Amino acid sequence: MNNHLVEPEHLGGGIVLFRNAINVDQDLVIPYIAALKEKAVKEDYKIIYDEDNNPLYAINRSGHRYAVEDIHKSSSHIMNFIYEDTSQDVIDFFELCEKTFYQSLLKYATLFPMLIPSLWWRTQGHILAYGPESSMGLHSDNDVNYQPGFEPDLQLAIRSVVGSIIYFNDSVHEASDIIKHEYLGGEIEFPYANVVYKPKSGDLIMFPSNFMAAHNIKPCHDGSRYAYIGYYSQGSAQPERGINIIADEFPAGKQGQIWMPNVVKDYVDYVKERYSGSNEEKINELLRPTKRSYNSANTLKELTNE
Amino acid sequence: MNNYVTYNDVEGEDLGGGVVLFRSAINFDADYAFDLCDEIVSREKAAMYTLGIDPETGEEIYINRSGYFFGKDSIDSMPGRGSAAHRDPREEVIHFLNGLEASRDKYLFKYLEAYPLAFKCIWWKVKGHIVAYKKNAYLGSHSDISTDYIYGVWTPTDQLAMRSTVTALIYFNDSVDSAEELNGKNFTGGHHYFNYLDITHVPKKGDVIFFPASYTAGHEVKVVEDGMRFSYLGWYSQGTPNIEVKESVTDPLADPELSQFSTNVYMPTLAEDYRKHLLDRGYDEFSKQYMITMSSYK
Repeated sequence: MNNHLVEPEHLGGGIVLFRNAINVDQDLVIPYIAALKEKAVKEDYKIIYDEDNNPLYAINRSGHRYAVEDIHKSSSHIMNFIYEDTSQDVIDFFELCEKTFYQSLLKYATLFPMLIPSLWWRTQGHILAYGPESSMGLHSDNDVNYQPGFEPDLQLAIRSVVGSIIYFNDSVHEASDIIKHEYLGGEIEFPYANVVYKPKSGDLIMFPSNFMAAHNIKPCHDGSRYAYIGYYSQGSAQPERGINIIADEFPAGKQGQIWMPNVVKDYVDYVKERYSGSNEEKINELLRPTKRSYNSANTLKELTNE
Repeated sequence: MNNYVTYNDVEGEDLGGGVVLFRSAINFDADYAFDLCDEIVSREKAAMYTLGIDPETGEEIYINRSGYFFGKDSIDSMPGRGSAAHRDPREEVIHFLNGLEASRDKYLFKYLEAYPLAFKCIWWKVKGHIVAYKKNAYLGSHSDISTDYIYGVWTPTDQLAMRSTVTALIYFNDSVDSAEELNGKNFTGGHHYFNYLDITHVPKKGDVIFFPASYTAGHEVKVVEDGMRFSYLGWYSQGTPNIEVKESVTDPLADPELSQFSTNVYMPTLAEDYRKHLLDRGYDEFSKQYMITMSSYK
């Protein structure tokens, strides 16, 4: 089981692709996830009934409403996927996904160093499963479906700055290309950035959480589409809005928000190693946002003295 | 009266990366704006710092209200701020500032026509404040959602900036090419540069520019070589306020009086006003722009 130190490819609009970033043992991972999906649908949606006990609509954990018959047409978020009887291979794989996320984040930040001061904590990854005929409409990851006078209880999504996804199986062009774990469709489209990406197993993409990287998932056919998703965010905790950040590291499969005490140091180390021998101006430009630099007089003085 | 702001109803130019420029978007009396900016920013600086002498070095320094010393050059190289403009006691000043606010809200609607999804992430706005760059002042590259956090070193006590979705800037005077064109009211240099988009905007009086607050639209203001550069800077933002980190937002429906002076105010009629704007502009109720404003769309 391994990952690769691949170079980022900027597709536009802050959407960056790391091709073949991780080896996915599909025969290990995909049957494991497929078995969890049914359970996840039940956990994901709460059905709301009228007085006569007829189902009115379903509401998901983010507070978005769906017609009951449409539940199967949307994705499932598998938040809990490590159990007592989970094999060590599966656990190792998800831990490698987290490690690959973090390594990619450091590389991503070299393309957009101004991102660095906005990286406070991360949201542990979870599995995203799209069954046959499912799709997702255009949305941005910072949107919590606010309506004037109604402020959602859960506002974690507002805090995210950049998201990261690893794809576990391939979207192929024709039904005849489906061998075992493949599917048709399921491309992710970013209309404002004019980018379309067709998932490939082991690829990792990162993109901004704001409206500029609003995206939709085209309908997936003839198979299921599996991916792993996590976020990097900023801001102090606000427990009454579901924003809690836990100090300790914990293993993949357990949900929560985790501080990143070493992200600046790790980024600096990465830049120094990766760009050793490059001109000093380039290195300074990459490292500038790691110093408190632009908005306080104290800091300006500190920098001048350096 | 010289405190009127006229909305020119111009169309935006999409410069890329979500940066939309409305050229000569508003009219106002340039002399009035210049003098007002100068006065407000000088007043706030005087309230913040006293000019003094460092007893050890004998150099001229600024002393702030807590008694800390700051190098004169370091303060003058940063933009000055007129943050309390909306608390000005003069009605004519408030009238002028409200004119700017009304115009920028109208241009926001045009911005949302191009980027409809941004609508979903706007709950309230941060009214504009005045930003002033003297000769030799500049602002290093940054994103508007960044507050310079570094784990264990600095957790910002004021986190309002992180809640921003879209930034709006209005320019009060012109960046000109040569000293001959300064005329006592303009400046040279001071270009606004978006580092990752490689977009440069040369400010002109009455320009209104919108851009995403996030890091992809990170930017810097190049050194002002001569003259004074004045602009008006505000945001559109989201999230339930967290008072602990100085996010305090007034609801005009609940407290109309306070909201006149508050910089951060909810926009309760945003959806309604935007829908009306869309219909006036020929978008129907089934346009994606209009549909986005209706409840649950997923």
